[in-house]
Amino acid sequence: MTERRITEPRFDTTIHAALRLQLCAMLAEVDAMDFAAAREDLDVSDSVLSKHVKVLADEGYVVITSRTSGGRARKRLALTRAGADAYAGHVAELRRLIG
Amino acid sequence: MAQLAPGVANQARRVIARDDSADREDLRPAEALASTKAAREALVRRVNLPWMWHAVMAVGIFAVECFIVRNPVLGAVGGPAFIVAAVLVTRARERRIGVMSDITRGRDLDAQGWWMTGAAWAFLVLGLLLRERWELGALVAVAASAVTMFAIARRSNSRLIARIRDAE
Repeated sequence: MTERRITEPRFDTTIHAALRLQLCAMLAEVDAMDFAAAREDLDVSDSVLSKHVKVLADEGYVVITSRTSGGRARKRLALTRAGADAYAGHVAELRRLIG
Repeated sequence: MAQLAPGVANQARRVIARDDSADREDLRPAEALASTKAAREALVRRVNLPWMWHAVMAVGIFAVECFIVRNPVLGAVGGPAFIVAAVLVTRARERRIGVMSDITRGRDLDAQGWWMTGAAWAFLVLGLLLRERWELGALVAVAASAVTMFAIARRSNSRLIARIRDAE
């Protein structure tokens, strides 16, 4: 069953950058997502996505795990609880601003 | 200097444009919300499974359940093995599409989903009870179980898609 918590609106400058906001929007709805899949869906280069993922990871919003599959290292991204709360708060604030 | 094929050049231009806009922090609230919606639509395209996938799974379930009904002793081993195999296939599919959804945690399985799961098991038990007395009835019960499982899987996928689309 879908769990929805009451969220206090709070603008988050870390999340507000276009790509980070879109990445959080995707990660908020799933358990985890491969880096490659996120890059493909967001239609950006590896380096750009890496840079933004690092910003989110440094803030504790995203956790990165690595695993080997078919001899290739694959990175997987997941939103942390803090990240999910920050994203929900940011979206609530955007909605509040729109009115 | 070697020229890029038109398709490759267009893709490169698009990625460069996206890379440039990725850093934008001056999004207006409406723009920001619209961008999250676009991202979620991309995710929907990724997790939206064709009905054929679930149909193949249902046929596999039907075959295993027929086996269980015909030979319950071997079925006691084969049944759990099939459940493990089904979970592994689901995980393999998730790895292929690159998205781990939490279907196994039941986020997209509501009360009706659990009720339907119970019905699928009940049909299997009915098949086992009927196996000695009415073979055709047992087969129909097993088929009903597989069809119910198919319906559960389709419903669960639809709910996942609806949840992603309706998310704030």
